[in-house]
Amino acid sequence: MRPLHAAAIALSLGYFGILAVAPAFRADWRITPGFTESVWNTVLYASVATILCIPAAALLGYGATRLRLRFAYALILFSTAIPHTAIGVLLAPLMSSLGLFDTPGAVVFSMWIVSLPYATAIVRASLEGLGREFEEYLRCMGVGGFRLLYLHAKAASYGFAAAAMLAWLRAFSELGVLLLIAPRPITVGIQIYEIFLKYGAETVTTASLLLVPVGVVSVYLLSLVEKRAAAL
Amino acid sequence: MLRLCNLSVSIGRLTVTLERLDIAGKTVLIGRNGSGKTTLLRAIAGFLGAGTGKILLDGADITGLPPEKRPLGYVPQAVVPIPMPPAKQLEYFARLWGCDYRDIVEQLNLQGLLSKTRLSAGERQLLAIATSLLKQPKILLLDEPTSSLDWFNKQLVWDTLGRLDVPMLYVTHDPVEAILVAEEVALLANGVVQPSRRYPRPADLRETLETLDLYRLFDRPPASHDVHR
Repeated sequence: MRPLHAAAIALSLGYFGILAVAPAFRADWRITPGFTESVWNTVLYASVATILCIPAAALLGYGATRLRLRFAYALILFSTAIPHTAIGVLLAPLMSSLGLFDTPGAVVFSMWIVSLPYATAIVRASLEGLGREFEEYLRCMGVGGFRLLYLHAKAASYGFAAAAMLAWLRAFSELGVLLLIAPRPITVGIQIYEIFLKYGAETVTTASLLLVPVGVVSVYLLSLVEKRAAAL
Repeated sequence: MLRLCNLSVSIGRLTVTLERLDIAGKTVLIGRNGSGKTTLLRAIAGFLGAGTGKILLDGADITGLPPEKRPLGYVPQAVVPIPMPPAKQLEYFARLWGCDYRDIVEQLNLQGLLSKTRLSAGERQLLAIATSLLKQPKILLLDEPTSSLDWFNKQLVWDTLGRLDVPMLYVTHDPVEAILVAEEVALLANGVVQPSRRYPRPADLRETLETLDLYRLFDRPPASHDVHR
């Protein structure tokens, strides 16, 4: 085995080992009450947030790529540098004025806010891959407006699928914003945090480990999408 | 007929100028890499503004029109990945332009292509050409359409273009390709497009093409003098 091979495998196994294998030896394998409900809530709200995120990411990604609106892209991407608790603080006045604290709307909105930059970045990259000629040919064929955006999305469908999957994963794992503006309805990150504060890490080790398959399955599906895209 | 008058197009440090170029048939514009051929083509298509000059198509000034409104077809250098099967693609654009795609299919002999799900690069270029013809363009702009194609796919495209009755401006860096495609040739060098001129075509173009086709050399068993030892 070549040294780089071995180093990459060792690093990835080490990473997985620290996060998923070592804690398994301490888990009591008892599911905390309310865990299932919190997972279903999170799946539902992350899915809604993702469905709302992709059209926005499509428009922003298209704007950044074809309409030379790179400033619009920067106006979205800056939030990735901000701790999510800070984003929660910044959103708090808006949520207060709209009376949305602790509502499903606030949960979905929080997830949407944090997922949008990542989805936009992936959409942008996949549209860049189509090349300028794609747009120019279509425009010469009289295609314009949303029809043009639709054909771009169709041509970059695997990129859009990857963007949707990553947006969903980002939404599912959100905690910081939710802590400040939408701890209810309860999502899985909030539940684990609250039980950790009250009873300590050992009580929520099982719940945390049960989320590992969510990540593994999602990443596997993402790799299938990438494989199909590469085959084209 | 496309008429370009006193045109000047700039992008970055590159400026392309021409005094007058008329295109009524198959005109090839040859020039080296980086000479500005694509820049000029994109300006005619409407993606770059002309600094000065006019672009007239059948007497109408289209200089200020956006690309969508210019009655011309444009086939870029890179093969365009329209995300539809061939028949659906033709149907989609035929519906957009209110015409019947079957006429184009028959004219270009593309029946075999419609049922395929995977197309070769040459077939995809042919499909792009056929699609652009649905618009009934007054002129076709082709930006090195065979540059990424192998010999066989190049011939497929050349043969198809040869059957078309649409004026075209065909850009290439390859003089051999120019000979095979053009009725007139214009040269772009040092940022200036020189007026097009007819050139003495080889007496037998088909024989020239067969001479260039080295693949045919291996279709027959080698004679003793053919084999390099």
